[in-house]
Amino acid sequence: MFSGYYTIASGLLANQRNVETIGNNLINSQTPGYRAERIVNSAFEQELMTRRDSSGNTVLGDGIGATAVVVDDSLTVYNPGLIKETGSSFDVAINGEGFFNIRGADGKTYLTRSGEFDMDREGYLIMPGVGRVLGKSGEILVRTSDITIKEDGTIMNSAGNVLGQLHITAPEDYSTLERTENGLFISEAPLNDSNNFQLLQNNLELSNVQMNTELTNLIAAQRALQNCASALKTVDSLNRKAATQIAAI
Amino acid sequence: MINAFYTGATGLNAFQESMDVIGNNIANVNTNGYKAVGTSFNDLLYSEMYVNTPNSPLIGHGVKATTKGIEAGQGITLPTSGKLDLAIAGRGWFALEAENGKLYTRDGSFAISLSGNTAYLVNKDGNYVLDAGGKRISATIDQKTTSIDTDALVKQIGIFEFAYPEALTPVSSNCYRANDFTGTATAAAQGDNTILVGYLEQSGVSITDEMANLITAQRGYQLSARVVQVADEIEQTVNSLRA
Repeated sequence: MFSGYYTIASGLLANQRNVETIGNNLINSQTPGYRAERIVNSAFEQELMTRRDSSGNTVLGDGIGATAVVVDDSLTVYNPGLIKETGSSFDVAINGEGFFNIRGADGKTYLTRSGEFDMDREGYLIMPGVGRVLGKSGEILVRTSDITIKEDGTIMNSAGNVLGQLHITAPEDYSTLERTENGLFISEAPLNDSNNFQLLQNNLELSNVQMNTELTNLIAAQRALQNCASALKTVDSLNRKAATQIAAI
Repeated sequence: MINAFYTGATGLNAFQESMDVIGNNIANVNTNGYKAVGTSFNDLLYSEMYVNTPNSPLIGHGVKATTKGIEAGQGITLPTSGKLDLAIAGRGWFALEAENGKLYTRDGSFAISLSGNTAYLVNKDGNYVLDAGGKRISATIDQKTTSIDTDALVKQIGIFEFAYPEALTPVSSNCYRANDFTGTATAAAQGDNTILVGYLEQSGVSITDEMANLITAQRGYQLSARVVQVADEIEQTVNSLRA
């Protein structure tokens, strides 16, 4: 009888989550290496229509199931972002395929497209707040900001000594990547060395958030939420009629 | 309450902070030896959308502004006629003796401070300029001609280099302080830097870059305000459900 309420309430909640995700995309429109996130909704009509019969088996119910919509998953958009010149020698942009490898404080290897690096007190190349940047032969000791990074990732100091080479890896299937915090990704599947890239020093890859798309999605999600709200009012007025008028006869 | 309110607010704050830094850069477009300060952005905490659900989608909670340090590169030098207007060609810095520790600057508009029969080289705030060994630079005044050999003073000036000059902490009056990240100041090797007499290094601010950054920050601010507005409208919708 009241299933309409809960169906619509689930719609309100799912649309609100969508607005929150789009809002976070918009706000990170200037964050280097940020990748836009999309919400995928799914209906779970099936689950609520099942019931248990007397022998304990699960059977499909014969009544109308209470349908609901839930946020099922979020997808990440991996399109490249614009590359902007910054003039800072620790800024590196990947033009092409692949990710930088960072060793986090928990020992895991994180992937990121944000090449906004820095140097720690011991002189190692780091991603601030995450950990040390990994080269082909481990962590990279740079000791100075006066470095040159070539297109293949070789890092040299002003005397021409090779300090290391940035390790750029790419997954075979982007859907195996798991999104974590701070624009970082984790891959469960093994990664291959990427060959299809060019590194640009003194440049940063910006966020791939497209403001027009996000603003349109924001309006669409807001309207969908308002639709749910007015549908809820309709169901409410139906129930009010049932409770007041039918009982009055 | 819905998260988008607070997500939007973090955006408003971050872009506001970025505009503050850009505004300060633009205001210092004519400050000798000023180094532009860069800002960048970082996304914040992510939380799980549903608790106690495996592989729950993550939801982000906004953005914060971060500093990129100063742009420590060589600025444009402009000729002046002053004998004690000095500019450094290279990565080095002048060292100054201030009341609470050493300061470093690339603003070489120096002056003479007389103390009895000795002339000291100071900057315009009266801080002593130091030589490569960290001592004050002085010359004895010629009693007959009462002239000061400024060339001899300039020759004594020490130039220091840092492993990571971008991390220098700005203090007032075009000066910077060393910290753990910059590494210790070491006297620059002979020939790496040249002191140009009669030149001053201009501000490192590029007004076109700053204007472009200002516009980007303003647009970011507008988008964040839009997110807050939508969150507010959603709350209104929810509040009017039982009208």
